[in-house]
Amino acid sequence: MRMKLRILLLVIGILAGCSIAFAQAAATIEKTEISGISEDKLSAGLRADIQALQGKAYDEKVAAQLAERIQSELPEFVATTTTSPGTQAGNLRLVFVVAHNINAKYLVESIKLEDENHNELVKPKISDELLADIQKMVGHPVDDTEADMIRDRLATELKNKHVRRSVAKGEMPDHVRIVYQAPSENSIGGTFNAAGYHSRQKFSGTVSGTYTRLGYMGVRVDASNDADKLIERFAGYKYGAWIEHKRLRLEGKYSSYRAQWSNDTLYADAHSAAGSPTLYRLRDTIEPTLKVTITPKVHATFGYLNSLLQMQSPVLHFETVRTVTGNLDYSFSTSSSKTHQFSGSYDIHVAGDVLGGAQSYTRHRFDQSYSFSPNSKDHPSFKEILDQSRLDFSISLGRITGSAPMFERFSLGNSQTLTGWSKYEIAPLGADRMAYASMAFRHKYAEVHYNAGALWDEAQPIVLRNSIGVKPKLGSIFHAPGPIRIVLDIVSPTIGFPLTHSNAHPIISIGGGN
Amino acid sequence: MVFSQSMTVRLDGDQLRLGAPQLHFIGNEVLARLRNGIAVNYIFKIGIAADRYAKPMSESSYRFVVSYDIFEEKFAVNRLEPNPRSITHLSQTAVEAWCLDSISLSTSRLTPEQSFWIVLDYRAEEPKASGGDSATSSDTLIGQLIDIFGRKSQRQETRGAISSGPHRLSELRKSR
Repeated sequence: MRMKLRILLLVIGILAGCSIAFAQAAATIEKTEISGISEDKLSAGLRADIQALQGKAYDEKVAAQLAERIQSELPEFVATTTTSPGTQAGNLRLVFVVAHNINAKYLVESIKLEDENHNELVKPKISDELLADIQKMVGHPVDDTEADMIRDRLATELKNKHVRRSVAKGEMPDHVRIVYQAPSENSIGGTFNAAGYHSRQKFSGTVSGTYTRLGYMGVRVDASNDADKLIERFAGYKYGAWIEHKRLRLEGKYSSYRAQWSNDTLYADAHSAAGSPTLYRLRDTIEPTLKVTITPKVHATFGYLNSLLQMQSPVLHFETVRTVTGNLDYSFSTSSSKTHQFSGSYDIHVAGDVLGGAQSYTRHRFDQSYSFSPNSKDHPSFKEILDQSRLDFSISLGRITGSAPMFERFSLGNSQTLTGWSKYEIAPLGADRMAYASMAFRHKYAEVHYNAGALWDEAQPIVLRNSIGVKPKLGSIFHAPGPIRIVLDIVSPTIGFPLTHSNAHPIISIGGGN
Repeated sequence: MVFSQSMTVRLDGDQLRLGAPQLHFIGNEVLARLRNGIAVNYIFKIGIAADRYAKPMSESSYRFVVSYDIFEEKFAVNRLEPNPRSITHLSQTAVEAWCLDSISLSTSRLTPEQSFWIVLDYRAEEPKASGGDSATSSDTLIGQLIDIFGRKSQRQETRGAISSGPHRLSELRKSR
C-alpha cells in the first residue's frame, strides 16, 4: 500500500514538473517594451536585438543580457526586466525597465488614496479624468515621473499641498501598491481627562477640546474642576494655542481658576504662623513656553508664568507671582519591544525680585521612573497591551526655598500618590520639601501599589508614611467583551490602605490622575 | 544638520581620495523615505581650501540617486555625474562607502608644499513639494502662515559637512 502511494506521488510530481517545464517553454514573447526612457537613447543595434525577441520563446538569460547591454549604454540608470501576461494565454509582455529607482522593476498592483491614519479616502473629490489616469498606472512598472505627476494633480484637486507618495509591497509577488497619503488639514478632538472619584476629595475631571491644523498649529480649551492635583480644588477654564516648526514648539496658555479650600486647609491657615502661605480665591495665569526637541526623546522647555492671585486675607487684595520656568525631560527604552523603559524630568521655577512679583522663591522637582515589561512585544495588539504584566518604580524629590504660593507647594495623598492617605491630613497647607517613592505591579487581573513618602517644611521633623493600593480589574476578571472590558478596567476602584498603627480607614478612588 | 566627523585623505595618482568610515550620511529620515520606495538624490561637493573655513580654491560636484528595493531589501545607487555608473544589491554601509569611493579631486592646482584642507559637503534632496500655487490649502492669513511653516518643514534637507586638514601633497606622497 505504502509502495503504491509512493509511485502515485512520483507520477504526480513528474507530471507537475513536465507541465511547469512545458508552460515555461511555451511562453512566447508577444511584445517587448522599454519603460522609463525614450527608445531613441539606445543604439540602433540594441533596439533591433530587443525587437527581434518578439515572437520568440522567453529566455530569462537572454533578457538579462539585453538589460546589461542597456545599462552599459546608459550607465546612470539601473536596467532590469519584468514580465506581464500577454493578450493570449501562453504569451507574455517583456518590459525592459530603465530607471533610477530600483523599484521601477515591479508592476503596480493597485493605487491607494488614504489619510494620515492610513484610512482609505472615501469618495475623494477628484475628477474622473484624474481617476482614469491613476488607474492607467496599474499593470505597468512603477514610473516615478508619472507617479509624481499624479501626486501633484492630486494635490491640486484635493487642495492639499501635503500629499505624499510611497510604494509598498503588493499582495502578488513582484507587485507593489502606490500609496498617496493626503493628511487632513483640520482635525478636531475632545477628551475627558483625569476624571475620577476620591472618597475624600470627591469628583474631579477635565473636559478638553482641541483643534489642530496640519499638525503644525493647534488650539485647546480645557474646563476643569479638580481637587486631586493641588491642595486646593480649582475650577475654571484654560485656553492654549501652539505653533510648531521643526524642533521648536511655541505655546501660550491662559487660565482662570476659582479656588476652593477644604476645612482642614482653612483651619490650618487660620492657625498658621505669620509668613505662612496665604489662601486665594481666584488664580489667573498667563504662561508662554518654548519647547525645544533636542532629540526625539529629550526635550527642554523654557517658560514664564505670571499669576494674578485674589487673596482672601487679611483683606481682599491682589498679588502677582512672576516666575521663570525650566524643564528637561527624557524617555528611552533599551529595545524596540520596550522591555526596559526609563523616563524622568527635572523642573525648576524661579521667582525673584528681578521679576517684580510679590513672592520670591525657587522650586525644584525631580522625577524618575523605570518600567519593566518582561513579555512586551514590538507591535502589540490592544488585547496584548491589556494583558501585559509590568513592574513600575518611581521616585520624586521636591524642594522649595523662599515663600512659594499655595499652588506651587508639594502635596501627597491623592488618587496617585500615597493612596490611602488624605492630603488634607498629611499637610493641609502643603509643604516645601517632598520625597516620594512607589512600586507597582500591574497584572492582567489586578494592580498592587506600595507607596512611601514624606512631606515636611524646613526645620520640621520628617515623618515617613507608607500605604498599599489594590485595584482589581473588573473587566478582565469578569471576562467582559471588547470595549466593555476596557471601560470596566478603567473604572475599577483602587482601594488604598494607610500602613499606620492608628485606626485609619481605607480610601477608595476611581480613575483620576493627571 | 551640519556636523563634523573624521575623514582620511589619500593620494591616488594625481587624485585625492577620501575615506570616512564613520560618516553615515543616510540618516533616519532619509532611510524612512527609501524604505517607502522613494528614490533620494544626494549631492556631494568636495573642495580644496586654504583653511577649514576659507572659500574653496577648486570644487567638484557629484550627484547620486539612492533607492531601496522593497522586496529584496537591498540598496541601489546610480552616479549621475560625473562618469555615470550604477550598482545594485548593496547594504546601507556599502552604499555610503561606494559613494565616497567614487569621489575624487584633482591635485593639479596644488604645489607639493602647499598646505590645504579638504571640505566635503553633502545634502539629500527632498522630493519637490506637491502642487503649485493652485494647491494653496487656505485663503486665510493664518492658513497661509501655516502653509509656509509646513512647506519649509516638508522641504527640509538632510545635509552635513566634513573636513580634514591641514595636508600637504609631499606628506601624502610619503605616507603612500
